[in-house]
Amino acid sequence: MSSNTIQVLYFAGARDATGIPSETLSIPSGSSEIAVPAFIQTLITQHPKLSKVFSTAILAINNQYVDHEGRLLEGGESVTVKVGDEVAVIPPVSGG
Amino acid sequence: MSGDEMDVAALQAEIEQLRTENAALKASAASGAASLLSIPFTVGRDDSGATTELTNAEIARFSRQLLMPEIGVQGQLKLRNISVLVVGCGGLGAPAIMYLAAAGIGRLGVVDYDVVEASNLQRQIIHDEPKVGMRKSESAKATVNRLSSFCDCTAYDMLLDSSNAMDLIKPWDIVVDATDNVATRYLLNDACVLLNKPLVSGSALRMDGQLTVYNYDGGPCYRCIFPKPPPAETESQYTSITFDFRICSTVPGIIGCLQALEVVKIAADIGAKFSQKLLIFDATFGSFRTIKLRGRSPACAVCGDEPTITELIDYVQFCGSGPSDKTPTQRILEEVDRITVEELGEFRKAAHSHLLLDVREKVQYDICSLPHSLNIPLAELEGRLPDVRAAARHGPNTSGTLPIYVICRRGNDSQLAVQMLQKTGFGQAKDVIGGLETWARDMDSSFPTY
Repeated sequence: MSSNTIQVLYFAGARDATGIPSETLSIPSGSSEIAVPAFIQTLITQHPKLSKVFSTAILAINNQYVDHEGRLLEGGESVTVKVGDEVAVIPPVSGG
Repeated sequence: MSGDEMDVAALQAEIEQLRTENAALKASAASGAASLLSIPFTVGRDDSGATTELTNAEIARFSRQLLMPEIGVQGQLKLRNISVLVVGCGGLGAPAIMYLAAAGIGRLGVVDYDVVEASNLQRQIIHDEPKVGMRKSESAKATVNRLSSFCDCTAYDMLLDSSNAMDLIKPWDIVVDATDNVATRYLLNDACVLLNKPLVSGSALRMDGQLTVYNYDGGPCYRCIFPKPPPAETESQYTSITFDFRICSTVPGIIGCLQALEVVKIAADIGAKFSQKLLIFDATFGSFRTIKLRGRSPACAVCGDEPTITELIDYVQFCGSGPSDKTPTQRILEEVDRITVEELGEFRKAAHSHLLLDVREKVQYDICSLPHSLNIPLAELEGRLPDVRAAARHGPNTSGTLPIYVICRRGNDSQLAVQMLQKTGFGQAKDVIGGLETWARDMDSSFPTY
């Protein structure tokens, strides 16, 4: 992965919504990070069907859960998505 | 000569005596060994009344894991003295129940409300062909009984809901979520939080599997991670309302095995490694990925500092969908916009010109279809209205239009399709009540069902 991009992985229903298992996104030039809510909005703009997926899907940055505000815990500090990060979009699977 | 005969007789007598002595020694050695083996590893009962010794038969049965320092005698005794409730005897429950019984879990409860169907057997390996039609919980118990005489298994043929879940779960030490629907997942989660039980949760659909141990060792509960249920499918207009039945046979098998493993680790005090972690199994790419989850949420509605859920709620209402995978028969259209399979049969026999539009997915259409039908899946219908228009053209000047009969598997999606068609200029579209399943039942018993 090149150093000015973000790798996005789509699992389960997110893969259905986007039609792809993963993609590489570039961050607008001049910046090296993006806030999590803005990043989610970028993904939804790119793949409108993700909007429904994000009503339940969780987000993991480099295999660490963050909420849709980018926080690890309530009241905690927000993290941002940075170049070189890997972001996973994980909707709950309910079947069995 | 007589001297030789005497020697022979003496030698024969000596051989006989040695044989007798040998047999006596063998018997004595065997009983000595047996008495040595029968000395228990530990003797007596602990304060809780749980038995604290392994029998010879248990030593022989579980020797391979007794030899593992991670389990050993103490671990095996813990497995025997623990009770595990597995909710769901399907794709996840099948291997989970079998491995738990095989590993020596002393008491197992198995819960399911459904009966075994032929389409289950591709993945629910606890059931087999002679058990088609049998209650799943009874079938699971029968398999456990065959597998191990060391497991006391109780079958619960019941649909878990808010009225019975607390009483059912209360006596058990560990709960396994091997269900197939969102409503029961929230129900089990809340009950386990209220009763303080670890919940070993697995799920699988198509090529995806997930595993987490909830409400254990300070970790989060299901609601901490997924506070809101997914939007009910029926909310979105013209989206298929058919339950998703697609499942690769070994995917729930793999997750169910991992659930059994986590139970054994909790029971033997090795510790669950998927507390506060989410395992994602991607069968397409063959990858396992572990996501580090958040801890318990102080704001959680059920396990938080100020919980708003202090008793079980109505989970069907909360989720907008129920626990049954039997697609409920919807009634969207008026009588006048529908025809019966008998009427369709008459039209086809009389060669009455019409367009039969099958709105199932292509993979389903490939399994079976009625001759001379046009397949346009519901999801594609809006974009392929010109195809419908072309196929419905009729007459020498192609100005007339044929009646359109829309069919699907069970008669739900076909109604959504007719709604869409009627709003887009195909006022003549009608739906076939009950779909191909009803066709197979009432009109053509040789037509396959799936």
